[in-house]
Order: sequence, then structure tokens, then C-alpha cells
Amino acid sequence: MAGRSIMGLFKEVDDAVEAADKLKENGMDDFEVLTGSPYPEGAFGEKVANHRLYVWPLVGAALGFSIAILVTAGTQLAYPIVTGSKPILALPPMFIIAYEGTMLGAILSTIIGVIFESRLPRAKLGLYDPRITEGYIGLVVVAPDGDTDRVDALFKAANATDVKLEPVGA
Amino acid sequence: MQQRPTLTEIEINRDLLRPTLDTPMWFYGLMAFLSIFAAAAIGAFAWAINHGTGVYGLNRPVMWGFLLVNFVFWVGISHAGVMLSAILRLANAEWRRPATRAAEVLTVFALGTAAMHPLFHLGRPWRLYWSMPPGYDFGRGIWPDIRSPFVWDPTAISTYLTSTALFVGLLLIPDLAVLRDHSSGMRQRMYSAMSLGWRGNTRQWKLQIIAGFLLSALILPVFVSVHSIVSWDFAVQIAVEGWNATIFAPYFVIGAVHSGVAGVISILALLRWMFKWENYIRDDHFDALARLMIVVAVAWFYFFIIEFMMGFYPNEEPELSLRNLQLTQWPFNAAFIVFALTSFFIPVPLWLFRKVRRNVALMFWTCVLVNIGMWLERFLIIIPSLMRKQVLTFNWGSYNPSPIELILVGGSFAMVFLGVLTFVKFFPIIPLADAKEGEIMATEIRVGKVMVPAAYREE
Amino acid sequence: MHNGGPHGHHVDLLVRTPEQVNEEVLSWTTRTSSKYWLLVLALAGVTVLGVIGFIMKASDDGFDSHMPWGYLAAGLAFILTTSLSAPLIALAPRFAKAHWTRPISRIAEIWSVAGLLALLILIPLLVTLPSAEGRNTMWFYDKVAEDWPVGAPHLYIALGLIFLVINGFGLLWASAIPDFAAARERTTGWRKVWYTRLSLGWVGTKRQWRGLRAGLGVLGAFYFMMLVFAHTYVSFDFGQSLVPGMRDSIMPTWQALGGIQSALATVIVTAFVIRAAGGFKDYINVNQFWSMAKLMLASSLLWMYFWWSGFIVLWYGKTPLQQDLLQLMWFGPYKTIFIMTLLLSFAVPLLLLMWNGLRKSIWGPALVSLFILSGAFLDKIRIYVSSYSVENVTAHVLETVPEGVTPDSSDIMMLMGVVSGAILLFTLAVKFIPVISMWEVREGMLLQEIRPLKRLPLKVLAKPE
Repeated sequence: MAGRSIMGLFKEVDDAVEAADKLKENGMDDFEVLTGSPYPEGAFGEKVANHRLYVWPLVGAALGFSIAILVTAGTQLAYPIVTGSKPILALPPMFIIAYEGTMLGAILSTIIGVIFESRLPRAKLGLYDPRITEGYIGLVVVAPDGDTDRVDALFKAANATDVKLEPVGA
Repeated sequence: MQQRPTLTEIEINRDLLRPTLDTPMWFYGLMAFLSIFAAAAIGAFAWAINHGTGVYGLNRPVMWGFLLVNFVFWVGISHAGVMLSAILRLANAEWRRPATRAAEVLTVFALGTAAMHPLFHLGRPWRLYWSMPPGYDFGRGIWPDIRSPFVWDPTAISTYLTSTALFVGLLLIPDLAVLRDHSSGMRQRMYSAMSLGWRGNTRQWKLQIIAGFLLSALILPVFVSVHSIVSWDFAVQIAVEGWNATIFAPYFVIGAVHSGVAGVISILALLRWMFKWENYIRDDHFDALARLMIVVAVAWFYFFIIEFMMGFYPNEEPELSLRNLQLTQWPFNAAFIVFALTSFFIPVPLWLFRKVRRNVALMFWTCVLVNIGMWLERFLIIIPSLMRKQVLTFNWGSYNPSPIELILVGGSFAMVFLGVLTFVKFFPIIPLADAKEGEIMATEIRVGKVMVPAAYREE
Repeated sequence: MHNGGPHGHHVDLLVRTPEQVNEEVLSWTTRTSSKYWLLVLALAGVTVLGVIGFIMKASDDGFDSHMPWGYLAAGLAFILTTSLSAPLIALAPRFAKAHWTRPISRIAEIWSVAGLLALLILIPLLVTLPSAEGRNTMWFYDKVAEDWPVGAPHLYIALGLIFLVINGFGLLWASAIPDFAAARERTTGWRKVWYTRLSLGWVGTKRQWRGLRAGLGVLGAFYFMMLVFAHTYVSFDFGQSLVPGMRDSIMPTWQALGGIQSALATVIVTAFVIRAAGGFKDYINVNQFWSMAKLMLASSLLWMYFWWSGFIVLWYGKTPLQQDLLQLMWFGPYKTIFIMTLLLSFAVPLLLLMWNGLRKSIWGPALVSLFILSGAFLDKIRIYVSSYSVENVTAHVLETVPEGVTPDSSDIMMLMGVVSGAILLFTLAVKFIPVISMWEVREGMLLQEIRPLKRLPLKVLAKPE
């Protein structure tokens, strides 16, 4: 999308909500809300973020289970020695290890999935302000056709404490 | 319910980051003090390596002593973490907020400390290498025997340790971003790198919240499996009286929850005293945790009764002689009485009183009592059973812990506290994001003339 | 499935005045259609069939041996794990101050009326139960002192179950007192007479409410403990202790846990039916099913875990006795039934309930509940029929693994009678006791509301001390 990003910084939550309403009225409903607290999604009337996180644990679990079964079956067959009158391919112990493998696979891939779906890690913070972690709300929007002045005015009208522009070429 | 203080984000940052950004001097003193004990434990271990395991009080047939008792104890404590954070998260309990991370961090360090005990016990820790993949004898095709519970156990513990540590780390990201924004120099660069470029947009917060629920649900089954597998280290053997019981797995798990939640309550009381966090770890929280403790303690007691009764049920001589030893012979009779009183009969009736539940000092001490009792429980399960392992009486043995073992056990407590304090020095132990979310979600509903505390609920 | 707000947030709440709640619930309670009486007739018919089956069994096999009565013992255990466990679903959330349980708590409590049936079934079972002499029981018989405790186990089982049933009735009555009082004002004739008597002059003073809450707390805690105890002695005395040498300490706890799972399933199925039959679609909505489905998923996982915990110890030990026990209970004649149970009580619930879309629906949990109830039914048959099939209960160890016992026609008739008898008692009770706890619903309306958090409508829940 063409255009530069612009961020309005709001001290009061209600001002930010007003500004978000104004953005939507002006056809800019694809804005990003930066907060220091986890507001429930939709509190600012923002768009729902889609994700596919639920696929991750399933894939990880399948992978972990397969590896665990391969390893447990493989090692027993490679070193076939009867202990405790258990069969060479003793299913209950295999199940226990496979269970741990499944869960480890699911958890590891979920953690990777959360980071990936959060679009992290990112080397540059982009438009950001440290005051956001003190309770300020940041609204970031790509100004259509580079018309940053209009958005700037809109933010200021809604009591923005500060308005920041993305540096050109960033 | 008491009037709930309202806190702004700035206040929350200031209060909860105080130990990290503005560490008081006594904190370093405390750490130095604990380090002495930890160092003593390391010294004792070095002594044991140098002189061999003969320095332990182990005596045929009692080849598992205090170190294994302590191992089970710390694995048990480590169960509080996920029990609290996962179950309360999944149940959407508002009062979980200050307790979750403390519980998870206690898990990590208790589990790490527990994992050291088998090494202490082996006395030749470097031989561990041969039981790890790089040390396998590939040339001759010799592989570990997965039919042994001693293979299941490290598998489970390493899964649990990895998962919990990563879970803590993942949920730490937003708080690391706060630290990044509030520090400078070296520290800022460190926190910057660790916070992975967190900005706090809707997508990131949403995934944090989902991650909290989803990973809780995934770690919960691991947590159950860990102490179950620890119990199978004992229970699948048919040779030792008193161990071969089918109930052992859930009995160990519920006992672990009992001692673990008590451990978390003790830690929370200490944190509240040390950092004056009355506004965060409130009386309400102790009240709710104590109610949970009543339920857990009663459930544990039910399992204990069933397990103990089953000792008499088959009416067989070896089992009866074991119960005789546990109940009537010194010092086990004394240990048994103390165990019964401290783990159940003193604390639970006290917790029935609201005044006790909301009294931080009483909650701290009753929870310490529970853990004294639960340590003795493991002692009573392991040592007397081994003393009566053989059928013929001339093969019965005794066990006295050596000073080296006592130092190691004492040092393990110092190590866990040192670990938790080190975490507190670098990271917020009460999750800032959770505290802030609690502020957003807290509201009230008017019913007639009273305002009833209420919370927004996302479904 | 319908969503009330944006972003898939489910924010529908009951919108009614307190009078409307009373009106709607009571008009359904006091109205009986011809369809209803047809259902009662059908259930009564099947129950009579069960009685005939019982008479057939008694005249064919008599009461001298316990062995022919395995299927009836399974019936008792099934009533215990479903109807008598159901009130738990009203109790536990009440302790946790959860709001979702309000519209279904009475449905759960009314199931305690099936206790009457349990007491009836208990009589022949106690008559045929072998004495504690010369075998292992959980009652320490002959261990501490000779012939002591007197009357074990029969007397204690009887007392335990009687107390449980009385406690259940007490709980049901106590929780319905405010609703009886409301009904007293809105009915005439015999109903008014009875509602007046049962409401004990309730007018709803502050003192009365406080007393009610305290009473419900105490009765609830007692019921919980009595129920767990009941699972313990039923699984011991009618199961484990009939098998010489059997030592499976997890069994009573596993059965108690199974009770929680089946209780959820029972309440879900009944809530589904009552919702449709009574037109209570606004009262009982997807929230109740969703909340219970989550608990049902957890209890299904735990069910498997408890079974596995016992199994791995028996499998690993490999002593001859342990191998015989595995044969008797799981992998011998009842293998098919056991595999079916594993599928119905664990695998299918897990594979279905792991999807939130299905959990958060009305038909999904109801469907899974039917599977779970069938699983529980088969499980009871497997445990008790196999235990009852051992002939020499005073032997030192299990001498041979007995062959499987297939049900004869009288067994099948008795089991049908047990199930329909329990449903009959419930069906009769719902036309007298208000099937929705009106006072809890009215209280719930005070403590919940929809309020926007900035631009997002959310549910607000108040939790009074």
C-alpha cells in the first residue's frame, strides 16, 4: 500500500477510542492500536486479527508422536534384549515416552507459533513510543495517498498528546 | 470483599519493577546469606565425589535415602506452578493474577534443583554422559532400555522443565518490553533483545492471551504425567512392600499439588512482606488460595486414606510389618504423628476460619507446616519400605542420614530461594500485563444500594 | 449457535422480569399434557418389565448365591454414577461462585429422587452379598477384633446409602424452598397445600436467605463426601472384595471420578431435553453446555489417566495374580466391552470435545454425553459382572479366571427397568418441583449484565462475597 504510517499518541483511553471512531468514519479502518495493557480485542473497534495458531500444536503433536514412536521402537529393535519378561516391543512404555514426545512437540511448536503469529521477532520497532508502556495509547495508520496532514489534524482534534510520522524510506 | 484499590499503569510499573530497577541493599545481603548455604551444598557434593558415595548414610537394603526423599519433595513443589497458573487461567479466576508467574518460576527452580538430586545420589555425575544420546554406544548398537521407569522419568522431567521455562519466557515478553522502555544502557540492550521487538498491538496481545490458555491446557497433561512417572519409579516394582499400589500416580500428583500450592502461598507471603505489595497480593488472594487449599487437602486426604487402608486390606504379613514400622517404631511413629498433624489436622481446620484465611502470617506458617508434613510423607513412603524390603528379618536394615546428606538437603532449599530471588532481580515476578488487565477488567455492578465487585468477562 | 456481539463474543443474557421467570417456570411445572402422561405410561411399563425380570431372576436363581446378581449390581452402580452423582453439578460451581450453573442446578438436584430406586435395588443385593467372614473387605472385619465391626459390610452399605439419599432429598428440598414459596402464591388446590407445607413459611427475610445459603453449603459439602464414600464402598463391596487377592487401590477413586464424568453427561442430556420440552431456550443456552463440555473433556482425560495409572502397575508387575486380574477385568472375556468403554468414555469424547466449535454448541455436548453414558453403562457391567462371576470369594488368590457371563432375558429386563425407573422418577418430579431454580436465576440476573468496554460489548459478572 502506498503511503506513510503516522502514529497518534493519546494519554486518555477515551480520546483514543474517539480518534479510532473518526478514523473509521474517514474510511481508514485498518489501523493498529498499541497499548501497554491487554485490552480485549475490539475495545477500540479495531479489526479482528486472524491467526492460525491452532494448527501449530496439532502439527507439533503429530511430529513429536512420530519421532517418539520411531525412537522407542527403533532402539528396542536395534538392541533386542528381554528385560523383566516384557515383550521386545513393549507398548505401554512406548506409549509413556510417546506421550511426553507428543506433548513436547505440541508445546514447542505452539511457542514457536505464538512468536511467529505475533509477527515477532522484529529488528526495528517502527513507529513506537516508550510512553505506551505507561498507559498511553498509540494509534498507527497508513495515511491514504500520503495525506498525512489530514490524519495529523484528525489526531490532534481528538486530543492527541503527540503525533509521529514514519521517516521516509523506513 | 474489601475495597479494591485502583491502580494506574504508571503505579503498576513503579511498584512491580521496584525490585528489578531499584534493588534494595538488603536484597543483596539476603542473596549472599543464601549463597553460603548453596556453596556449602556444592562443597558437600564435591566431598561426596572425592570420597565416593560411602559418605552418604545409605545402608543395605536402604539404598535410597534423604536425597531421593528430597528429590520427590522438590518435584512435588514444582507441581504448584502449572496447577495454579493453568487451572486458574482455564477457569478464568480473577484472583490468579498475582500468583501465576511466582508459581511458574517456583516450578522452574524447584524442578531444576530436583533434577540435581539423582546426580548427587549417583556420586559419579560424569557417568550421566553415557546415558545421554551423545554417549550411547552406537558402535555396538547398545541402546537405553525404555522399559525402565528411570528412562521415563528424565523424559518427563526434561519435557516439563523445557515447557515451563519456555512458557514463563513467552509470557514475559510484554513485561520485558516495559523494562526495555524503562531502563538504559546495557540493561536496555539486553531487555530490547529479549523482548523481540514487542510493540503491544492488538494481534500481539491477542496471541499472548491465547498462548496463556492454550499452553496451560497443553502443559497441564505434562504436569500430571511428571509426578505420575515419579510415582512409578516406586510403584511398578513388586519387590518393595508398600510401593506396588495402583493408586500411587494420582496419590503422588494430588500430594504434589497439596505441597506445591502451599509452597506458592508461602512465597507470595514472603514477596508481599519483602516488597510491600499489599495492593497486589491482597488478603482476597490469600482467602481464595486457602479455599483452594481446603479442597486440595481434603482430596489428598481421601487418597491417603485409601492408600493407607490398602496396606491392611490384603492382611498379609510383610505389608503389616511395614505399617507396624511406620506407626509404632521410633523415629517413624513420631514422624508419622508430625506428618498427620502438620499436613492435615492442624492447617485444614484453621483454614475453615475466614480470619485465618485473610491473615498473611498465619497462612504463611500453616503452609510451611504443610510442607514439613509433605516432606515427612515422602520420607515415610521411601525409607521404611526399603528397610523392610527383604522378606527375611536378618536382611532388614536401618538408615541414618549423614551430615553430607543433611547439608545437601538444606542447601537445596537455599538453591531454590536463590533461584527465585535471582529471577526477581532481573524480571518482574508479578506479571505486569496481568495486573494491568485486571485493572481494565475490574468493575462493579449496582445491586440495590450496594456496589458488588465485578469483572468484565471475555469468552 | 448464535453470537450476540461482534468478534464472535457471546454476550446473550436472559432478559426477563422476575415475575416472568416465575410465570414461565411455574406454568410449565404445573401443566401436564397428554404427551407427558403417555411418556410416564411408557416409562412405567418398562419399569414394570424390570420388576418382572427381577421376579423371574429370583424364582429361577434365588437369593442363595451372589453370582446371578452381577447385572443388577451393575445397575445399582450405574444409578450411583449417573442420577446420584448429578447433584454434584449443582454443588461444585456454587462453591466456586460460578454463574453459569444457575439455570441447570435444579435439573441436577432433582436427579437425587432416583435414590429411592437405588435403595430398592440395594435390598436384594445386600441379601445376596456374601458375609465378610474369611475374605478381605474394606471394613477391617476381623482384623482389629474378632467379628468386629458388627454387621460389616451389609449394615454400613445400607446406612451409607440411606444417608446419601436422605442428604440428597434434603439438598433438593432446601434449594427449592424459595421456589416452593413462589409456587405457593401462584397455585391452587392440592398443589397450593403442598407448596405451602414444603415452603415452611418462607418469606425471604435476610435471616432466611443467610440460613438457606449456610444450609446449602453444609448439605452440599456433606453430599459430596457421602457420594465419594458411596463410590468407594460400592466399588469395594460389590466389586473388588469379591475377587480374592485383588488389590487395586485406584479403583474407588477411579469410580468416583467416573461419577463426575457421568454426572456431567447426565445433566447435559437432561438439560438438552428440558430445554426443548419446556421451551427454556432463553434460560438454558450455549453457555451452560459450553461450560459443562469443558469440564467433561477434563474428566474424560482424567478418566483415562486413572485407568492407565492402575493398568501400568498391574501390567508391569507381571505376577501371576496381576496377570489374572488383567484377564478377568480387561483383556479376557470382557475385552470387547472394555475396548468399547475406552472408545466411548475416552477416545470419542476427546476427539470430539477437543474442538471448541463443538464444545460451544448445544447438540455437540449432548451427543458426546450419550456416548459417555453408554460407556459408563458398559463399564459398570464389566466391573461388577466380572467380580460377581468369581465363585470362591474366600480363596486366598484368584484360582482361575472365570468365563464371561452373558446376560439372560431377566438381566436385560432388570437393567431396562433400572434405567427407565430412574427416568420415571425424574419425569414425575419435574412436574412438581420447579425444574429451573427460579431464585438462582433471578439472583443471576441481578449479578450479570452486558456493558460495553469502550466499543466492545462484554458480559460483566459480579462475585459477591
